[in-house]
Amino acid sequence: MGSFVWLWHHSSLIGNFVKRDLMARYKGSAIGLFWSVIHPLIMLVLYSFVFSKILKVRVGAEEGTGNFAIYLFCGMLPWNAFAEALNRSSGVVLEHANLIKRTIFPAEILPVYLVVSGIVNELIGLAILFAALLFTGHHFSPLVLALPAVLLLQVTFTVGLAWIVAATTVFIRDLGQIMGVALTLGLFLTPIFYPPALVPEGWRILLSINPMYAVVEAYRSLILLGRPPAWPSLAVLGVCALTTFVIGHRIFRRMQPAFADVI
Amino acid sequence: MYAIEVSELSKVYRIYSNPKDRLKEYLLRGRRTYHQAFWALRDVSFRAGVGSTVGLIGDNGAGKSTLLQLVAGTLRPTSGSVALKGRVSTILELGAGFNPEFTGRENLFMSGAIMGISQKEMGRRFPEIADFAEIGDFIERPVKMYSSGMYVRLAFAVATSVDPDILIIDEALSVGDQYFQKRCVDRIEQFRRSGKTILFCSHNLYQVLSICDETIWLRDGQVAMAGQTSRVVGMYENYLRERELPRAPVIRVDQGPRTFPWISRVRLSRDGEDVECDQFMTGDELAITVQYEVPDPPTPVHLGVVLYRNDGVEVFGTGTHVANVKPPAHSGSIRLRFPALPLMSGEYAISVFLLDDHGVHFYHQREREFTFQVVQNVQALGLCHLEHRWEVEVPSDPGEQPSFSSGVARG
Repeated sequence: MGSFVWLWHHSSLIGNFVKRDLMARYKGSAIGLFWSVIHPLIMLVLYSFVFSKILKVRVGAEEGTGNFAIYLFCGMLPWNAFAEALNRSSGVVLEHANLIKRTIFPAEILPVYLVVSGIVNELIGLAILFAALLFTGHHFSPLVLALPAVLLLQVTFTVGLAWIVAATTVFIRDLGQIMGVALTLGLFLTPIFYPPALVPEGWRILLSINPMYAVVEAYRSLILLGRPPAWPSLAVLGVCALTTFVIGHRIFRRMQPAFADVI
Repeated sequence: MYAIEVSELSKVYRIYSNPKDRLKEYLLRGRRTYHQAFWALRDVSFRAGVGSTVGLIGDNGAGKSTLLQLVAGTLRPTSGSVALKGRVSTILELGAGFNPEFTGRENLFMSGAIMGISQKEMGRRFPEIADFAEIGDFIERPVKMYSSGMYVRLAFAVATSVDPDILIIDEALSVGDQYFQKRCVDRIEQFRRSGKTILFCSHNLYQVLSICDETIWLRDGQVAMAGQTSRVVGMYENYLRERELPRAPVIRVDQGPRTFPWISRVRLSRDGEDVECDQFMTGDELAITVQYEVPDPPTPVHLGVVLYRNDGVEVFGTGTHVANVKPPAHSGSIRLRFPALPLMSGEYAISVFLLDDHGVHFYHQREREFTFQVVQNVQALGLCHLEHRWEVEVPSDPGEQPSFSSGVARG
């Protein structure tokens, strides 16, 4: 619980870092932050073109609206936010070596701001998804309002992992390379490109222990199907998120004093 | 009341020959060690009273930055403790955390956030900071377009804009032009006057002399000397000179039975005391007593004495032949007195010569064999304390003759 209070205490500083991160990405470009909108928009159009027009992939009504591009996009949004945060976490301490060595500064917020920054991009993507759904005449269920709760669990889980990755990479630099591979594996092992129903019976166990599967499925249930998500997988997610968060914070705090010696 | 209390502070860095070793050692949990220990700092203790300004000097790699980082809390000590009273602000590196793509204003607010100043508070201080930095319209342009001078001005302005009780400054003033350095010194003076405690590290010994009450000299991670600034800086300068000039080995040659006059003993003492002494204060009396032996038959001799500083500078030399003093032509002893030694801090050496009656031929010479140290108790620079007086011209009403007020200073 203390970890949450601590985060709240630094929310203004985290906000500043997020703002700077988002602005830095498009600094000097002519249309600036507008790129954040164009990127996901192009992805959605591309998915639609490739999967619906060329490959003519269809998913059953059980898996959403029947439009595969929308189905894929809905799964990609939370995954991208997750993967981006973790991938960047591996280098974040080194990147801010100057701040850590030269100023009195709460380094714990570094992975956190990456997660929040990823979430901001995800929200832009969600807005585009919602617009596309409205455009195609999709009827939203009031259950969509429960999405922030899922988002919160997702953030909690991601922050916990990001702390572990950020702290450990300082001492074991190879983790940066490992993360790239692990995230690619994760992308394909989580049913994002394919519906979970296609996973053979014997391999379902892989899904039930994958918290990101729970996240992706919850998104699809709430947004596309208008159904409450599967409670067991949500429970797994909740437990995983809280444990990871608490342990991650401990690990980071424990390793932090030694950062300045190594970087 | 002490603002900074550092006791037995040590910092050991573990040096691994490759990153794998770090992992191995961690996994074996200390059953085997793969590192080499490097003591960046060993058993350093000092205290700084509230409102005092403490200087930190020493060679590169002596541990100054490590000590400052430990006091600031950005590094954790291996052993020992640091106790601080009050809010700390550090200037360990100017512009740490500036992002070159952002404007000066944006970077200011970001730095403020990192230092824990709310955006509202920062907004209130902004005009003052921008004013001090003197970068004009550039405040709205990306920092990457700044000249290095503008960059450090902005960084210094923001770093000192917080209102700390303890200010830790590392080498901040060694950048920028004269004008900027002057403004920084003014700012620091202002901090001093308002009773802040300052820990100040610099290679500019003159700045240390003029700003710091007390100074710590670090050498190889340990305190070589600490205390009154003028004394510590004096000894450090002396050490620097000594290192410059490798001491010539003293060659002693067994001369066999002596057939010519020779110097048998040289003794340094203070204020006519008989006790031998090699530590003097500026203004002490230095007496050099030379005993010499003259084998039969009696031969007229003269005595020459030359003082050197340890870097080889010839300070002063004289002899009985130029002063028209006639030493006895048989074995005896002569004393040369400097009633008020005008030398400044440092290490000095004396050469003694025994000459023939024309003062030309050397019977015996003992070069730089006798050394002594001087510690100064006056605030001044240089080799020796010249007697001087100041005269101030007081601006007067038009029509009147300018008048002088004068004061005489004596060491």
